[in-house]
Amino acid sequence: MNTSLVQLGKMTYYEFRMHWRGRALLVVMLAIAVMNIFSIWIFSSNTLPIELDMTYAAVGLISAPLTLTLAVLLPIIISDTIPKDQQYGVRELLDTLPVPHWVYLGGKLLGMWAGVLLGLFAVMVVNGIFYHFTIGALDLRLYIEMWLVAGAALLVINGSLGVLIPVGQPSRRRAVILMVALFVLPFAFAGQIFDTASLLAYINPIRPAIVLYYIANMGEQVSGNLTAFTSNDVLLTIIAGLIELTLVGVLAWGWLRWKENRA
Amino acid sequence: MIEINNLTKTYSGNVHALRGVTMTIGSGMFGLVGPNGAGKTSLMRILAGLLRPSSGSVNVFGHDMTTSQGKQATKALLGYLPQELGLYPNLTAREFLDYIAILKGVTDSSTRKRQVEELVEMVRLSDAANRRLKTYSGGMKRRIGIAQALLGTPKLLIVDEPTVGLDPEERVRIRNLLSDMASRCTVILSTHIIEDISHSCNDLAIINKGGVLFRGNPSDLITRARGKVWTILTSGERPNNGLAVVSTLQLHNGVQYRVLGTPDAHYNATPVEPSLEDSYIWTMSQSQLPHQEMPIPVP
Amino acid sequence: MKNIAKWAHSRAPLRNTIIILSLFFALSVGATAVLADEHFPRFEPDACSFGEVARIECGWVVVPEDYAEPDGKTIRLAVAILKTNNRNPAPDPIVYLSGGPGGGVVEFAPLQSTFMVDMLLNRDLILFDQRGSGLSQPALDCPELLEMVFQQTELSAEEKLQPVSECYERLEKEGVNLPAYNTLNNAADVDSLRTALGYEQINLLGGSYGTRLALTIMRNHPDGIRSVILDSSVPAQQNTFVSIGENFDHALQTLQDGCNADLLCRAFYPDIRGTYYQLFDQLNESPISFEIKNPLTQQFQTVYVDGYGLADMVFMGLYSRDSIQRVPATLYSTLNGDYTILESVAQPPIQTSSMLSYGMFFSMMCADSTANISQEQIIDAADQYPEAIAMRQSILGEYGFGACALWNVPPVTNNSAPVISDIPTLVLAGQYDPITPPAWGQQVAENLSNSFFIEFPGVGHGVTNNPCPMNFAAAFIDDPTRQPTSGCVENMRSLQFVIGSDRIRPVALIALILIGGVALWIIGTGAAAIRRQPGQIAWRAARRSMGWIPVIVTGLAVVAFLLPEQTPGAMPWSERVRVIETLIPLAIGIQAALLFSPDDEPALEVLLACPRKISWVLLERLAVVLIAQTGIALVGIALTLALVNDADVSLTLVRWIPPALFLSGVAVYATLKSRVMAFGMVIAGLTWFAFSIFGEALLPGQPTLWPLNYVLPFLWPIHPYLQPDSLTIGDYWLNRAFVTVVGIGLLILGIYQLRDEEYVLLGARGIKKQKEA
Repeated sequence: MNTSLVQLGKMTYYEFRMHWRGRALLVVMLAIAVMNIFSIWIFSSNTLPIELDMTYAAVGLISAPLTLTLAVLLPIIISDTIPKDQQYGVRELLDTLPVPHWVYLGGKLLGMWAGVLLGLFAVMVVNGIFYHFTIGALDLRLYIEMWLVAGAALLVINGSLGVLIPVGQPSRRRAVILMVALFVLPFAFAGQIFDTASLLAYINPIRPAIVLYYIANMGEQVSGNLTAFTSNDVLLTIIAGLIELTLVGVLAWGWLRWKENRA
Repeated sequence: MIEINNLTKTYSGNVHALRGVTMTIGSGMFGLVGPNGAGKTSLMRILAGLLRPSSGSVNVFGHDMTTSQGKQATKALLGYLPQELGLYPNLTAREFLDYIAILKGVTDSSTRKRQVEELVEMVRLSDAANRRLKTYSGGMKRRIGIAQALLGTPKLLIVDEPTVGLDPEERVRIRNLLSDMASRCTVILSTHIIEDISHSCNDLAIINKGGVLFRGNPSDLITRARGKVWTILTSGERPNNGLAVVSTLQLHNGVQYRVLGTPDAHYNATPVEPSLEDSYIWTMSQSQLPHQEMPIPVP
Repeated sequence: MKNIAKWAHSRAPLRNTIIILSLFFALSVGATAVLADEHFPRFEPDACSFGEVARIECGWVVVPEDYAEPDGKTIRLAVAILKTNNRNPAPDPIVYLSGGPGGGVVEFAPLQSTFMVDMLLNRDLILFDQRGSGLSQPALDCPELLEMVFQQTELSAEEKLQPVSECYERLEKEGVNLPAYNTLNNAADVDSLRTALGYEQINLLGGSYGTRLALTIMRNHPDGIRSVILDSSVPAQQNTFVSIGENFDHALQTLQDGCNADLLCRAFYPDIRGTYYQLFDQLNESPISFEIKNPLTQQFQTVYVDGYGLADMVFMGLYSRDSIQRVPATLYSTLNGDYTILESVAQPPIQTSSMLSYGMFFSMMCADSTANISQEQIIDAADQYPEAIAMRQSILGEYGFGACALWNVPPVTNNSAPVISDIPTLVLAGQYDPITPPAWGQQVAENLSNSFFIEFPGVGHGVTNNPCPMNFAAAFIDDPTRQPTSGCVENMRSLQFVIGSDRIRPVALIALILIGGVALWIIGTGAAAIRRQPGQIAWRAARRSMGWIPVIVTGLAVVAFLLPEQTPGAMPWSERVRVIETLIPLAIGIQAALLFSPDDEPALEVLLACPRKISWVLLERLAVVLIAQTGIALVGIALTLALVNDADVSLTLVRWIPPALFLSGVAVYATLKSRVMAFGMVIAGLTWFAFSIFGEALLPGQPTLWPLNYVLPFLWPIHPYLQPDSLTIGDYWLNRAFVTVVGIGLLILGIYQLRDEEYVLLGARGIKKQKEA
């Protein structure tokens, strides 16, 4: 057991380093940071037709780039994590090493979490400081809550799905196509699914409850009729997401076992 | 005829792959030998039109390779087998060859079919030709690689390390194939396995660190090392003092070392006729000496 | 009773007498009081006409029709009291004085409670319909006049005045004492309202005519007024009939100045005034008419616009921030023959007119404004300002004055001197106000010793409709001794003047010809190369590399979205005619990103060593994708045409092609530039999402945030999801051509990336040093 933990730790460490050496993660984090800064800047340069409580507006403004990027973009960009091993032939090597499957999957996941979390933290600080200097004080509790729930939770759920679902794909390209199909098609059903707090909305991979709840959280004057999602729905979505994640994780592990026994 | 004049190639990060290479290559089989990183692949790629020279001129059958028309014209006469050959895993061998044939300009479908069949037969893959490429072994993939290089009756065949990782039988097969081709077209074979050269080339060049160390035929190379190759039978220490040990053979009465250089008298060394490999190693070791740092351009 | 009698008898007779006398006195006083309540002013609570709404109480204030005859006929004023949520409210409410005159407000109390929520923070808000207007009884409406306005036909000046006298005669016959409906009595009504409702002090909030009323109250009934807010003031000494021309002229100049301060407006609309003249003459010569949908009745109505109609539109257009932004574009585009903006700003006449009680309007206006004024004076004043020629037909100009001649009420002569008062007053004015200019506000403030004057930029008439002035008003009422300040005033200065599509058209056309020409030439060269050697296309390999899964998925998606019945209220882009246009380009875009990526191509070196250019690989794969998706599109189009009754066949056939080419160009360029397929897909997906979901918000004239307002006017030519009815049809086809050409252009640019084998093989970093060596 000890060895496995050490292996897990080392794998996490190197996965973390590899993520930050590649371009993909950097681009995603920069995209979030830049979009947020852009929104805050535009927001501060304009008079709006409605008066907003500025401390809450921070959440509404920057939640959309954050939640949408993490819910939709991240899984697609991170989807080649495991298929890359297959494509570059590293898998063959890994298969000969005494690494248990759960350590392999766990290392991939933890490495990704660590990498993205670091980026999220940096973006959160940068955005917060920029907001403070441009617009004014912001409600720290709500701000951090948003980064924890909409940020970290989405990262864990959707990011992990992004790593685990393509576990069987032989090439990067196939992995990306699969993830696009899963994460872009739900947008086509936007009109039917988004506005109702239903089971479908909870298991919907793009997590409409979380996205819309935080966008709408711009103060009492505005949030009233904007969305049907409450904080309860956010909680349920997270729970549904974790269940999905567990299922997919078990399936992925099972698939690896089956492949090993078959070969 | 391939004329290379003062060819230089530099990559980003100040990597000098080729420094002022000048040589002429005639018809037949030409061997390009050198260690890894010597610049062989860069030279191959420039001849194939994949890279541009940083400076200098390259003329292939009269086409100037620094212009795009020259490159186009050369590619029409070219067969290329790269060091790392990627294949489309889901295509069968026949489909892949058919595809490359089109790309090479064999637009007439009956000609194409005929060529594909001939080549599949030549590389002895007729049985497996309808299987997908992802089911092929390494050797089979190489043979398909050669087959695709031979499509379109090329006048120049550039093969980059074709026998790496193959078993001796495969290696012999491929060597023979290439020798057969050498009678019809110019073959430039790049390798770091001296055996490949010794059995088929009568013209070779040794390249190291972007410069040409030797240019001539195998017997000239051997002449260079004549008088420098010895065997030493001893049961004592391994010989040193600036001697390069080429091989070590355990005998019943001691260890027989084959060395390069000028051994001291106390070694009781016996001179032997150099092999090509000996000569290659001798040439390489001479180039490390300080006063011989600059590569020697040989006409 | 028995006990009292017993108790009374048990005491001294004197005390009994005193008690009985006291009781009797109390009773008689009480009786008198009750009897006095039978007179005025009194408040009679009643149910609200709009039903029960929380925190709104309604009723009537009964006042004499003529204060000179207090025992005479009474009239009832409709009142709505909006209660504040504050647990410790201030004792002095705000009384809202509406403008017009003749604008009813009680009927819309629930709406007002949302608009004026700031006013309700600390105190109650009282709405009431002034005598003769709204729900008050009697209401002096003139249906005869509305009918004429509704008919929208050409009438002579006399014909237009006919309904006025008809209305007058009818009201007279009904026994209405029209001369009593003047501002003096109106002011007295407010004082009556205050006492009837039992308030010691009130605050006045008046706009437009309401300021004239407020000033009259300050002069004649100053007791009980704690503070006053005047929004777009009419000084007592001014006369709208005379000054209409001058005010309108000033407003047009302000408009040009404001436009000149905006980079794009200055470039595209350099001469607003001249354009207005030209258009005015042109429309009088040949008026135009078009159909618009009345939002109230949901029915289509014909609107008929001649020069005078235009003048009205421009005039009213200078009232609110939103419409000010559209005035230059409306003028220029209509002059150019493009009526889209005009149609979007035109209001069905019945909607604006029916909210005014014209009987009350004429009674008040004529009494206030005809003292010491003659027809000649009005015409002379008008001649000084040519703009006023347009206002001749207006109810505030000659027409109105002519109507007053028929509306026989005696002028009020003792209400024309400037009002001098020390009641704390906040005077608000709007920069672009065409009828009560900021100069008038300053005039009013001059004579009010405890007043603050604030001019708000970027707005016109009725500034408290905007949040910044509303905040000022609320802050002032809380503390009338301090001038409110805020940075929000400066934020209002910059207007986003709408740039009509007609201005961008020539630019787009030139760009289209240039880019299109180059693209055509390149395509022609390529096509010639293909024709020379047709066997060069490797169809089979291309088909195998693209696969059949995308075809199946797209086909299923198309069927899934086309077949079910449309639910009302679903997203606009899921309506049947738009399904193909939305889905197929997305499918093509995503596949286009996957066509060719150097880093992921297996046999790249071999391909590069072949004489056929590497870009052909990408093109033949793209061709396979396009052909397959076109097949699905055709099937889908056939389905659409079968399911939708009146679809335009040619439009449905081609409307999906420009976005398809656009998205494929974007995807290919993104993939080749970044060398990562995922990026190409993401960018193509985002582009599709942004333009198809937010399509409507990207049209010219839509509100947007700075600095995007500099980009928005130029976006329509390149908008892949522009709808045929958003702009003129000509603009729509120009957009289709432009989008197609840009898509092809991007494709060509992407393929241009592949021209150098070394770059394809090694990437950008490999050859960077090349240039230096």
